[in-house]
Amino acid sequence: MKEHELQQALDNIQISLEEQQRILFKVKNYNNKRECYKMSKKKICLVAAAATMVLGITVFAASGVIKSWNSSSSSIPDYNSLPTAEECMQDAGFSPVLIQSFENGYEFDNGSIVKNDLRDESDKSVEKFKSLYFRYEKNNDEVTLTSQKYVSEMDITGENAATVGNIPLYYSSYTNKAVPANYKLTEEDKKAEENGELIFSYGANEVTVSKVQNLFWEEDGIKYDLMQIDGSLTKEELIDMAEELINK
Amino acid sequence: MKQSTVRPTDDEIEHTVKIYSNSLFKLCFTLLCNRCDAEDAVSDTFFKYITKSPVFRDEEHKKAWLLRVAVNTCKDMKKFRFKHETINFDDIHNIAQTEPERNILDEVLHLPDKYKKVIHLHYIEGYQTKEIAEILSISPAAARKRLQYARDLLKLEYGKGDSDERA
Repeated sequence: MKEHELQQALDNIQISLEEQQRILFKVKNYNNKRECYKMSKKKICLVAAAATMVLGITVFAASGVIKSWNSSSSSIPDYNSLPTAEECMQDAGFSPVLIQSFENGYEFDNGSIVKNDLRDESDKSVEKFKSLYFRYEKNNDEVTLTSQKYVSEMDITGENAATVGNIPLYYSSYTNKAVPANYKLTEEDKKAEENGELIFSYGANEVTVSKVQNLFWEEDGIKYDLMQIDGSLTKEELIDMAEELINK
Repeated sequence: MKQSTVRPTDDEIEHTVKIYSNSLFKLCFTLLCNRCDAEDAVSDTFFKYITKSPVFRDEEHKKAWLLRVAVNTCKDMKKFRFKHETINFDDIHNIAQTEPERNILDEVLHLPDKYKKVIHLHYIEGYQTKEIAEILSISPAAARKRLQYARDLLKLEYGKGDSDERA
């Protein structure tokens, strides 16, 4: 191998315009910390930006010490089969309830380890932890289950939809509007955002609107989130799935 | 390093990303072996640039700082994932224009990280071993040895008075 051949081969590694623009958007967004998300709406940011590596930066306008929630993971799944309790313990530091498939037919598809960093007003890291983000699928319909363990206190939003044993389940649903990075909010958008009717995610190629459902509960110090976007599941079915996990 | 309390403006960030993202991407791709992880590492590097807001003597100082942070970011990413890099052969296929280039890339990407770093910093960024030593926080002798060993591993033919002398 000759030097110029080595240089030529390495010089072919070039960032694409698209990659550079995604990075620029993420970095600018990080700097500005746009107040476009609320705590309970974090997961939609994860999905909207899943193709890029930084999953989302969530700013909590109204919470106490914690002002932003930064999440990142690889866009390549870390698990292509359900991990064991030992693997979860090694990868994330806790072992959640594990389920290969739900009675309604949703089957484990893949999973990711998500790095989280909670920051205070002065942008100092308050707590870092890892989450496990599992995707379940049935006939191209996807539902995700996130489990995580952190000590920082957060407000719980959503209605108390059911109680399983002594565990309350909190349900929320909202509309997400994914928009390009340079999208200017219309007056109508601003009004809907203020009313909490619409949540905006920036960085999409085109404007898309999605219905999001979220079910939250906590068991043995582990916080669980079942979420579906534009899916076919009803609130009752999500509750049944949560019940199955809790009773497992 | 002296820290500035003022974060860079959007214009400064845009300028920095446009100027340095390609260099950082090349380095991160060489270390992480796939485009997705490289993009992530480059973003993380710029996040640190914003968070730390260091004061730079000049553009060279800034570039060296970003390269050092990128190297450490890649190292942390590998540590966090408890696994070694996943070489994406599709990415290599798309990057390399000829079969020989593909083979060269494949050989470089299979080198241990410490050799990849010196190869990249010397042959792509044009740094001498003294500068490489500063960026990687190792001694100049170690940088020289690593570069020599990397060349041996790659069976690299290099001319007298060429890059070796620069190094």
